[in-house]
Amino acid sequence: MTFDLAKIRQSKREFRQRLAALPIEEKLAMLDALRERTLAIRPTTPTPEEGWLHEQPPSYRVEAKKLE
Amino acid sequence: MNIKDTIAVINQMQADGVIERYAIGGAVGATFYLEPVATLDVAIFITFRPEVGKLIASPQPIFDYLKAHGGKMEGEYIVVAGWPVQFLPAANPLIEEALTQAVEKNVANTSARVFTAEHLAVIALQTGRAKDKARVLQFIETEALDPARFQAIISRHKLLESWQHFEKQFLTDAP
Repeated sequence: MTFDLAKIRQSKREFRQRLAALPIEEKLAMLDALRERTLAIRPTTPTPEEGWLHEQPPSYRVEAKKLE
Repeated sequence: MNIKDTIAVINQMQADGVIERYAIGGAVGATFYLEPVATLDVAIFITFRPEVGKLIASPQPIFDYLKAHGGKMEGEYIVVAGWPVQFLPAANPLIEEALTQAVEKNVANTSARVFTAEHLAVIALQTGRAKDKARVLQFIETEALDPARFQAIISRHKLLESWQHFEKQFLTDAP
């Protein structure tokens, strides 16, 4: 164990790179497992109440197409 | 719940002619290049095929097809093989280009069409939520981007100002 922040950051970066380099089948299986875990721990409230911080859906910047 | 099955159903839907072209974006698309990050849905970008005699393209044939193949509507999603899937039109020139230039990836002997890493990063930059910015940083830290391609997309879609702001905010040591 180390308390050297530079080493910790380097170690975390290497770990993430190892994960990124895994075969896609393994990574997709991880997504399945992560989703199940997220669903298991998320609150049961269907929609955030006013005043709660919550994620906004992406806009993907729709551009209106001009009609000729 | 198996995302590989979800991809297989989307491929079959394309083979059956319901959609012309698709590409996986969002967190699932990013997983093809980065470490997996928890996500609750699959973003599928498509070009809608207009129905005969109609000017406005509708996603209804997609929903009808998927419902006939076991899919279930849940709000703006349709659940396929346990995963909520959101079909998104190519709503701006950046996404249109990303869809055209998407690449085929092999997943357990089937193929999946996925946005390139550079397009995923630039779309995240354009979308601009906190988690999108985190994704851009992931792409940079993992060295998953071709810098020339990335810069070219940024220039082509006039996102230089957003990129400079991002660089100043996250990639410089100066306060």
